[in-house]
Amino acid sequence: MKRFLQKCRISAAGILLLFFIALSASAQESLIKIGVSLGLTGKYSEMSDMQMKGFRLWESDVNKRGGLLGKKVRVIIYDDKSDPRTAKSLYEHLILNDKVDLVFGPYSSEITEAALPITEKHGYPLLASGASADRLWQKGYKYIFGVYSPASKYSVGFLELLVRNDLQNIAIVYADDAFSVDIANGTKKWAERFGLKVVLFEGFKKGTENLDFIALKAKASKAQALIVCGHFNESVSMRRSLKKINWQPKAYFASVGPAMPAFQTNLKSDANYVFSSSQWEYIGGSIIPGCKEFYHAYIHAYNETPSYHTATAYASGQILEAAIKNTGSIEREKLRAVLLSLDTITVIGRHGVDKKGKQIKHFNLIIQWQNEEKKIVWPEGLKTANPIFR
Amino acid sequence: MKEHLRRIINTLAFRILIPVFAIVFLLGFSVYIFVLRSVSGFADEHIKENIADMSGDIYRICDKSLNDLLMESASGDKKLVRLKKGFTIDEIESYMTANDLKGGIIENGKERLRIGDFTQEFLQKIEDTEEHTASTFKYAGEKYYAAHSHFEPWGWHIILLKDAGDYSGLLRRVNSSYAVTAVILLTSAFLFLYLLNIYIRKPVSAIIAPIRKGEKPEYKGIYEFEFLSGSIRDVMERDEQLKEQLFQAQKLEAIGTLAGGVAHDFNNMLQGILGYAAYLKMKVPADDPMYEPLSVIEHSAERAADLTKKLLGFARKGKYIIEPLNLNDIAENVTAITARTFDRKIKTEMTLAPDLWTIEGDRSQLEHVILNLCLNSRDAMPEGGILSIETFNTEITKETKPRRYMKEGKYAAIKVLDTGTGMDEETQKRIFEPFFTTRKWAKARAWDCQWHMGL
Repeated sequence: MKRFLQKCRISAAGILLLFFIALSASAQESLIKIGVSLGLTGKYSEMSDMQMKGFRLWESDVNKRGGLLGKKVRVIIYDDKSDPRTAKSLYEHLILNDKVDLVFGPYSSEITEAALPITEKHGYPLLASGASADRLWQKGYKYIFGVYSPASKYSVGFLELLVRNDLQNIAIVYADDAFSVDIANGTKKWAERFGLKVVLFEGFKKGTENLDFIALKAKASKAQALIVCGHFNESVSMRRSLKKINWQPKAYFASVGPAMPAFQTNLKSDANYVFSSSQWEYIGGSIIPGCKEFYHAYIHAYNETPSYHTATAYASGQILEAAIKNTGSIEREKLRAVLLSLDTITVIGRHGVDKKGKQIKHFNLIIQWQNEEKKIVWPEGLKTANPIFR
Repeated sequence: MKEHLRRIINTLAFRILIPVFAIVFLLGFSVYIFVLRSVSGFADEHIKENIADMSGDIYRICDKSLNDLLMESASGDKKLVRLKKGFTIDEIESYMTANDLKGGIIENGKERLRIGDFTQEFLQKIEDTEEHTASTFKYAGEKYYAAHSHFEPWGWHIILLKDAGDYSGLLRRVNSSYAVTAVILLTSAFLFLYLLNIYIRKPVSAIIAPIRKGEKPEYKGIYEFEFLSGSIRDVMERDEQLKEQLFQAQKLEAIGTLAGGVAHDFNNMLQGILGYAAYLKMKVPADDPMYEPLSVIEHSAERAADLTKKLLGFARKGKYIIEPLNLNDIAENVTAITARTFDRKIKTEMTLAPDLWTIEGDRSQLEHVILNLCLNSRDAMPEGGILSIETFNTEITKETKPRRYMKEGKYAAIKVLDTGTGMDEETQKRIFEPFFTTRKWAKARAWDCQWHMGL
């Protein structure tokens, strides 16, 4: 009798195990897996962290809405340590080992450029949720779709403000990474289009901590406005160098960095009057459908205000969601075709790409720190304050 | 070498294939050139229209920008005009990039936008053409479609260039279609060769090969070639028969000549025997014991003389007494003899045509022929039977004549039939040969048939 009971116990355990295996396999089948690698540690950790929160929020929201095509959505996020080579192997891992259905792009143009050959090779459409360097769309890749406004257009609004405020001479300095160079070239091109005079156009090595020498050169050029094309660190360093050499140009614009709250935290009152571009800022009200809900949901989830990095990650999810709903499948070739012609509204505004996949519908905002607050100063219709030139 | 070449040129395959290939090639090439030119021409017109349309689109972009300024009462504000021009240039650049256009904008001699790398001289050449009208130009070895226009309010000269290479896909498609057609044509040609080999060359070879060896073709298969093979075989068979008959005739003639010579001499000798036998009979009375032997000598000599006459008749062919006669009379005379002399077990029947045509011939020879045939019949019926003699009129045509040497026309015929043992095929073939007989004990009869032939 004892032996019989033992046999029954073993059989029951086996049946249960099989049941769980079957259940797990069935759950796997009814899951849409989307992979992404982010620099959660390393130089891009701050922006990557914001992007991760954006992806997680979208994952949660879309699953609350019932998922996609009746399946739950799972975003698999890996840390690439802000290293292009690691990111490259992680995308291979996501595609070959995790067998993800779709992918999002990593943070930064540099890392996106490293991951692209892998996603192209396997035919995975990649929503560039953290990259905007123009060169990414100049290499003939077929599966990359821009979410950000391209780097070459980051400063257009600021240049317009210069024209409107009778500032003629500008100095453009830039870090020598691809993204910063693209911004600098675009700025120069637009400055010339607007009839501005570029009195200095000079690059410096990316990662240079002390930018005094560049600041001095800009001062010597008698530029009325200084434009720094670089990342967060460069924007902070240049502000410190300007203070150090005791030069206050009429306007100081840093392409990336000042839009983040950390800029103000780092520089305190020195952040004031600094201009920058932003892919998105929360304006309030109902200017963009869903934006208010996103903003409050984020604050509720993370107890902080979202940056444009968060918003663009969330918007990437929305774009993919719209494309899948439009296609009715997750077949990558079909999705690619739909993404090429998709014209939709996300929390960051309008989305649409040209035939190379480059973003053409979305535009950047120009912000300025005033009284330790971030204000939108361009475009005219969305501004929250008038720009201040010193 | 020359002969070898001539043989190749004269082969069936070569004679058929070369014209077929030549026609297909010429036709294909002509159509290719025609289609290619038509497609190129059509594409050229279409592209030029397209470029002209795009030139119009860009003009409208400029026009709208200016109107916006006017509507905002800002056309006099230099700063706003600068900004508007900048945004307009961007819009034009986006339009040009989206449409794979090159070129640029020159404002009062100053370059405002440039896509692609072109010399000032080249752009100047385009400016000399009519506005909003596309033309073709060569630059650095490449063909371009170009159009230009002026937007006077802003002093802009807008130049658009489209690389003709962008349209090469269209021509590539035409070329691909032709490549596929060429493959199909080649495959068809090889299939044609294969079928030609199976259905024409092989049957013809199957007919020709035995003919070359002197053998009769025996092709079976395609109806037309089978018919041809059969016809050739018939002709060859007739040729063989003719040769055989010629040989037979020559043989008989030689034997006849020999026999005639022998008979002539022998007849002369017999005249002496006959003469002396008659002389001696006159010298001895009828009851003399020598009279009877002399009569036998005389009678035997007469029979021998008769035989020599026959031989002479055979050898000379027709030196007989020719007169109009009726075969019915011949039949009746012969029947009168056979009825008296043949065994009673042999019953003689006679069916004579009442309106039998009169013929010309030697009565005694004919009687002899028929009598000999009756004798043969008798020998073939040792146990008795029916011997029937029939006469009738008949007409021999090309289709019905039994032997080639027989002339077509109306004939009176006599038929001797018996119910005897008959003749096998071999015997039938040889009955007209001299000295041929199936009976060793009656060689004399052997002459009969040859003799009949001599008749």
